[in-house]
Amino acid sequence: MSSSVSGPVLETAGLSKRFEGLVAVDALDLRIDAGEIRGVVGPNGAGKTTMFNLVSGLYRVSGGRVRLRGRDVTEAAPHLRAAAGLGRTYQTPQIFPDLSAFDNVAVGLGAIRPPSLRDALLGRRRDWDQMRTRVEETLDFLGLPTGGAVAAGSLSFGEQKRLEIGRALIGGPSVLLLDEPAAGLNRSEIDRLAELVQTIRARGVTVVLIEHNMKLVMGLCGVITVLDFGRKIAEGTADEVRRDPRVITAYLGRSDGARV
Amino acid sequence: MSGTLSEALGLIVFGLAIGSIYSLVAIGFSMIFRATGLVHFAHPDLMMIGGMVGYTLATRTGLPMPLLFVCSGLSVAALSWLIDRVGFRPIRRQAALLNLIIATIGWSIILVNVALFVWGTAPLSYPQEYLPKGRIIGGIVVVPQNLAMLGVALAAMIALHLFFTRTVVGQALRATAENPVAAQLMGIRIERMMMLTFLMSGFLAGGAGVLVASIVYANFDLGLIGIKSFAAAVLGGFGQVGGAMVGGLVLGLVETIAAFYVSSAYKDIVAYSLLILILLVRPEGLLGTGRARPD
Amino acid sequence: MAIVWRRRFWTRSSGAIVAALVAVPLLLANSPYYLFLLNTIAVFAMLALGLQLVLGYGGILQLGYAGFFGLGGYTSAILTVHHGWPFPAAFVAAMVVAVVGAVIMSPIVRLRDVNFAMATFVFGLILELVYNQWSGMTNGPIGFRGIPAPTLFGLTAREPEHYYYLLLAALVVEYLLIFRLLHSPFGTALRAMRENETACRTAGVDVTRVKVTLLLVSSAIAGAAGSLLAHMNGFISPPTFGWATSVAILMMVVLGGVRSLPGAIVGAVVIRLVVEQTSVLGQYSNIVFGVALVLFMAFLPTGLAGVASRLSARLPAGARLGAGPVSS
Repeated sequence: MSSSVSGPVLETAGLSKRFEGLVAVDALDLRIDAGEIRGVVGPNGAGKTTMFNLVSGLYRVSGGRVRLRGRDVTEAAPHLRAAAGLGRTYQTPQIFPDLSAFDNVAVGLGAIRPPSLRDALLGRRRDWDQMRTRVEETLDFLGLPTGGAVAAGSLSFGEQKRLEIGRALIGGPSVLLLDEPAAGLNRSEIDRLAELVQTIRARGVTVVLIEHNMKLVMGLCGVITVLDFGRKIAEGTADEVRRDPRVITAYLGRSDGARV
Repeated sequence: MSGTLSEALGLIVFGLAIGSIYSLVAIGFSMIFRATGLVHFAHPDLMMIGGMVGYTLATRTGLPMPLLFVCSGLSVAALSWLIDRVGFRPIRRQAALLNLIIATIGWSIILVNVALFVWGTAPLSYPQEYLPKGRIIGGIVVVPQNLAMLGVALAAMIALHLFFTRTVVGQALRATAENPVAAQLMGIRIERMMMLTFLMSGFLAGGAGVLVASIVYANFDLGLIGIKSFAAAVLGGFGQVGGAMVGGLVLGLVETIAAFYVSSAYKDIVAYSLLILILLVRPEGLLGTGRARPD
Repeated sequence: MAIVWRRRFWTRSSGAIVAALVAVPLLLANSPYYLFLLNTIAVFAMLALGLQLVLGYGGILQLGYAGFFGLGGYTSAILTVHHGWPFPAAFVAAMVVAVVGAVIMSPIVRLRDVNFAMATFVFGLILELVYNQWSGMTNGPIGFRGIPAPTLFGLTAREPEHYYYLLLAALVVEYLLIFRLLHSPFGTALRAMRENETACRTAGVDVTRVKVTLLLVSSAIAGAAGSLLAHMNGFISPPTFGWATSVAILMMVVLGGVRSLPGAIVGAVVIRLVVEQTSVLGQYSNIVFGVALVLFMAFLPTGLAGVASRLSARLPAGARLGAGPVSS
C-alpha cells in the first residue's frame, strides 16, 4: 500500500533523547521515502534502538518531532502509531510464547481493528472469518504453522523472528522497522530474510533495518544512515558510506568487531 | 497568644503528630515494597501488636515511654522477621506475587486473632502516666506527648535518611531495592538485605503502635488505623520512602482538620476522598514515579 | 494455547451441567435451607466470575470489588424502596451506577500494577465508609430493610426456587458473555497482554482501553449481583460490602485457579461453604482460616484448577478435562 501522498513516509526532525545526563540520541534528522529499504548502522550504543523506541512511541522524546506520512505522531501512544501505519520488531523477538503462532499474529490485527467488547459480543461470523483468513495468509507467506497445536515459545529462533514480522505486517503498515532481523540467523536463513525484505518492499511497505551484518545491509539497502553517539555521521549509498573516513574511524576506533 | 491561634497550632501539632505515626508505618510498607515487591497487608497489624505489647510492658513494668517504644519496636521487629522467614522466604522463589500478597492477608487474620486470644476484645487503656496531658506553657495549651511523638517520628525519619544515604548497609539496602540482580552481582547478600528490611520496618511499626495505643487505646482492631498508613503511602507515592513520610504527614493534617471543622464521623471519608482526588489528578502520588510508560 | 474464536459454548458437557443445575430444586424441594444456601453461593459465583475476568484474565489487581457489589445493592434498594422503581429498571440502574463508579476510578489504570491495586483498595475503603456513614441514603450501619422481592414480567419471586432460577439464569447469561468475550479477538489481546504488554502496544492494541473495558464489565457484574442479593434477602448492610468480602471473593478466584472460569465457581462454592460452616469451629475458626490461607498459598499456588489440570494430564486423552467447552 504505497503512500499516495508525496513526501517522506517517515521523518524525524531534531529527534533527541536524554537519560539523566546521558544523551542517547542527539538532534537526529531522518527522512525516509516511500519504497526505500533504509539501513541504519553504527557501533554498539550508537542510539539505533533508542531511535526506534522513540519513533514507535515507547520512549518520550526529549526534543524534536516524529512524522509518519506527514502526520506528527510525537505525542501519540504506540498503538495509535501502529494504527497510523507503523510496524516494528525487536532485537530479541518479543513474541507471546504461550500462545499459538496464529494468536501471535492475530494480535497484530489490533492495528486495523481494535479489539472491542462490542465486536466480541455482537461481531459477525463473516468478519471474523475474514480476519482468520488474513492471519492464515500471513502465516503462509512467512512459512509458519497455521495450526493451533504449537506454542510459539517452542518454535525455532528463526521462526520466532518471522512470527514477529508477521505480527507487524498484518496490520498493513506503510513502514516496517526491523531491529537486527539477521542476528542469530544462519547463512541460509539470512538469505531467506533478504528475499523476504525484498518481497515486503515490493508489496509497498517501506523498510528500515537496524543491522550489524554489513554484507546484508550493503546488499539490500539503497541508502544507509550511519549513527554514532546518537548522531548521524554519514548517509548515502553503500559505496559512499563504506569510503567515508568518519565511518571508518567510528568503527575502527571501537572494538566491537563489525565487519565492513 | 489568642485563643484561635493557639487552637490552630494545637491542631497542626496534633495533625503532624498523628501524621508522623502514619509515616512511620507507611515507611515500613514502602521499604518492604521497594525491597521485595510485596504489598504487606499484615503490616498494620504488626503495628497493632506493638501497641498491645507496649500495653503489657507498661502495666507490668512501668518503663518510661522511650523504652517502651524501643522494646515494642524490637519485639515486633523480631515478629516481622519471623513471619517473613516462616511465611514468605520459603515460597518467594516460586510463588507468584499475588499469592504472596494473599498470604500476607492470611497473616493479618492470624495476627488479629492471636491478639484477640491473648488480650481479649475489650479496648485497653495505657496507665495514666502515659496518657497525653495538656500543659499550659506561656499561656498556650501544649500537649507534650504530641510534641514528643512528632519529635520521635522526625528523629526516626532523619535517622533513616542518614542510614540510607551515609552508611554502607543503607546504601546496599537501597541498591537491593532498586535492582536486586545487579546488587547480587556486586556482592550484596539479597536475603540479608530483605531480612534487614523486615526487621527495620517491624521496629518502626512496633514503635508506632506504642505511640498510637497510648493516645487511643490498645485493641485488636488498631490495624484499621494502620490501614490509613496504606493510604498515606499511596498518597505520597507508593514505594517511595520520602513519599511515605510526606503522605503520612499530609494525611494526618487533613484528617485532624477535617475532624475539627467538618465532623469527626466524616473525617475518614474526607481524608480518603482527598486521596482519591489526588490520585485521579496525579496517579502516581505526590512524589511518586509509578507511571506505566517508561521515562 | 490456541484461542478459538467463537468457540461453541453449548456442547454436550455444558448442556448436561446446566440441565443438572435446573433439576436441583426438584431434588431439594423439602430443604429450603439448602436452596437458600445455593442461592447465596450463586450470587458469589457471579462475583467470583466477574473478579476472575478482571483479575485472572486481565491481571488487574482489583482489591475493592465488594464496593461495587455494594453500589449495585444500595442503588437497587434505594430506587425500589424510596422511589418506587420496578425491579427491572432498578436492576439496570444498579449496573449503571456500578459502571459509573468504575468510570470514575478508571484514570487510575495508567498506574503501575501495585499503585493501581492500592488505589482500588482505598476506593473500596471509601465506598465501605460511605455505606456506613451516609445514613440519609443507606441507613448506615443498621442496614437497609424492606427491599421488595423482584418482579419480572408480572411474576414475583417468593419461594427460594424462584430465586434459584432467577440466579441460575443470571449466572448462565454472565458465563456465556464472559465466554464469548474470551473467545474473540478481544480475548486474544487479553492473553497477549498478560505475556508482553509492550509488544501489544506496538502491535496496535490499546492496552489501557482493554483494561478499562474489563474494569467496567466486572463492575457491571458486581452491580447486578448486588441488586439480586438485595432483592433476594430483602435486607442489606454495610459489612457485606467491605474489605472482608473483597478478600473472600479474591480467595474464591485464587482457590479456583487464576484463568479458570469453572474454577472460580468451584472456589465460590468452597469458600461460601467454609464461611457458613465456620461457626462450627467457634473461636478458632478465624485463625484456622488464616493459617489455611497461608498454607494454601504456599503449597497450592495454581489453585484447584491447577491441581485438576495436573491430574487430568495423567488421564487418557479422551477423558481430559481440558477438552470440554468451559475451560480456556
